[in-house]
Amino acid sequence: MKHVWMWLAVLFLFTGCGFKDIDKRYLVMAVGVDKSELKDKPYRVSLKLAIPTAQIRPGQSNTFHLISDDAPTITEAVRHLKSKVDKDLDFSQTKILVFGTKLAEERLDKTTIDWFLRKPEIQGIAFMALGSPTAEQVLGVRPKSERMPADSLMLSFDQEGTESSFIVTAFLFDFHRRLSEKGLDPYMPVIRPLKDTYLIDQVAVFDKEKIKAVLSPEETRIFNELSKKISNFDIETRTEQARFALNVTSFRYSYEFDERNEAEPKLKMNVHIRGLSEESNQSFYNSNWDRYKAEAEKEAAKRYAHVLRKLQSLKVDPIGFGLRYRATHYQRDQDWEKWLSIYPRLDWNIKVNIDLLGSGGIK
Amino acid sequence: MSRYFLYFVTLSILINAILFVPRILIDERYDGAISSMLFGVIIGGALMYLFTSSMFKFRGQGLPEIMRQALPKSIVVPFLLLMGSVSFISGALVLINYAFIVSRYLIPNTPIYVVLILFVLVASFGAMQSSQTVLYSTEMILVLCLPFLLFSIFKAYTNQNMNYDEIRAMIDYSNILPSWKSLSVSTYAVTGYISLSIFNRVFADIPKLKHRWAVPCIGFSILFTAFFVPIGILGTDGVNEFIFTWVSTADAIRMKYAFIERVVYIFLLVYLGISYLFAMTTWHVGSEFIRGCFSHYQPNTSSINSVLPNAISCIVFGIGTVIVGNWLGEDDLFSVSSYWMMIRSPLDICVVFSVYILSRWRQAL
Repeated sequence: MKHVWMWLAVLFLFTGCGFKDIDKRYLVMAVGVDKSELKDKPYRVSLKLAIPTAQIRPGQSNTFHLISDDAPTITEAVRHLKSKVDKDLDFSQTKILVFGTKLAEERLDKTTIDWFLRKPEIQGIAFMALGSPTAEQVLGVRPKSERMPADSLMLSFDQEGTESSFIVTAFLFDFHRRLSEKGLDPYMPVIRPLKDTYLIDQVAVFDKEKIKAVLSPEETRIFNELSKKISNFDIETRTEQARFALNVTSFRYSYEFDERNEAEPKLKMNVHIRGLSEESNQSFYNSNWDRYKAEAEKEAAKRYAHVLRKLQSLKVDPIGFGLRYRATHYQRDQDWEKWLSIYPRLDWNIKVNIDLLGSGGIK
Repeated sequence: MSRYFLYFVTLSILINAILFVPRILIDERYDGAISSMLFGVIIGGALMYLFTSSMFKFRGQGLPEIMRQALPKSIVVPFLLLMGSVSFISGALVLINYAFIVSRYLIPNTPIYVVLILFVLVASFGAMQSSQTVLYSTEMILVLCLPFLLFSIFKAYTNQNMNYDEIRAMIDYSNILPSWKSLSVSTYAVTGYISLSIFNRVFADIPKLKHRWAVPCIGFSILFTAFFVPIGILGTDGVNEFIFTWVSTADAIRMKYAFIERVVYIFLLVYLGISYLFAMTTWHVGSEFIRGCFSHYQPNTSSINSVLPNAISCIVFGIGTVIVGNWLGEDDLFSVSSYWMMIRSPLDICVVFSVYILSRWRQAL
């Protein structure tokens, strides 16, 4: 009897839990934030809500419900959106946060992502992206191969399904860190909706406040190599003597600052690439491999220098050279001030070292 | 047997390093926090050596008996009451802190007092057992929890988003002398050896504590990890914006191919076990101290009569914990915890030296 009373007493404790069943919850798969047309309600928030299905079938079980609302703050918008649906909004599965390009061109800083960081349900490892032209349009796409709503975006950013060298990944926590870190600037991939799918092949670089530029797909690929050290890309060499493409199997680089000459600071970068030839207009055998290698090295160095100079002229540093400068110099805040004066006139000294492993299946 | 000593010391390092220390050390990361970790561990390690070797001169005796033999009752009783409450409060602070985290991240709809009542019930039940049982359960829970914890720390270090440049940029600030606050906080992290003042009763059959050198090593590596990993993941400036630094850090780590993607849930579960364990040992120590005031020492055999004083003190402090936890706001909790650590270190130093003096007296007799 004693035990019965005790357990009854414990049971009473649970009456306070405001627990909601799973069938009374709407899982929010993706959140989009756009700039609205209205002046007093600047945010247009769209939510992609998953409609559960009994069976998972590609292209059919990805049914969703897209709702949007304009409001002065994101909180207000979400609160009002709750009156458009019959279930409780659950953000614990939210993995995709899309921001409209217009919003980012005006301002995308800590105050914009504040709501996402403050809400404990939203994961720090959520993927961030820029929707071009708007986030709402990106969320509205229903790809044919999807098994769950927003699944295809998750797979693309995960680099688990497709492993494209054009797809840049930005996490929420990483974006937040870059917003305040001296010498490390934020970036985000740009998603462009096509009819039944997405095109993710650009990256937008930010200063600490708003978007500075969107890099072209070719630049994005190089940016991805440099920032994430990915190694599943290819190098195309196109000169008068030779035209061939290399599939890279391993890629690494190291760099150091050369400040012996105060007036002309240099950054010496050594890139090591190993790869197989994938496509060529002439036979590799019976000819001089070194010549091809030299051509490819020259070409690759040019590509890296182009992107680095472009970032330098935009006055952004998403790769983190400034942070490395702070890490390797021991003058505390003076390092940072010195770096600010060095970076605009930094000279790039890039040396690429290509190891040609073979010519593929044919000579 | 020596390993049980390492367990409860490691336990307190783990709890303090992850729940409290980052908040204060990371606040002062540009003002000597790094050197404070080094000095704190050295000071804490030296005190640990002093305390354990003095305690081991009194074979199989706890601090209450030792004091009773040497000092008049009018000094002993208030001192033991103070020690008991201090021990209870440090356990209660951990429970309240963890209840805040749980109600924020795991069960946001449950009111905090419900979480606290459940925590207090379990912790008190554990604390009422005999010292041996408490030590055995320390081993069991640590063996269950530590592999997961080590794995998530390993994931944190090898994570692609761990930026070692940020850590290297912080090294610039390592040659600043620490402030009193950060020094006392780092010293507090390795303060678990104080529990030996009760657990010494169980260590009667071993001649010498082995592996004591491991304590400063464990202390330094855990403190170092607890301080630098959040900085490497959340940024040198960004790290300051998080309240539960380590929960946010674990939230930023993902395991792509594991059965669960978000490391934060593994981390929260592991820490649930560890904070319960910490509360259990500190409350056990506290209740034994308070018991020492009332009567002559009777061994705690887990029978109703011998457990009664422990049960009463646990109930009193448990109710107090629930009331205070329900009443404290989040900002109060942080200021209370940081003041607590600043008072706690000097108190520990006093205890260590008084035990040392007592052991010298005994030798002189």
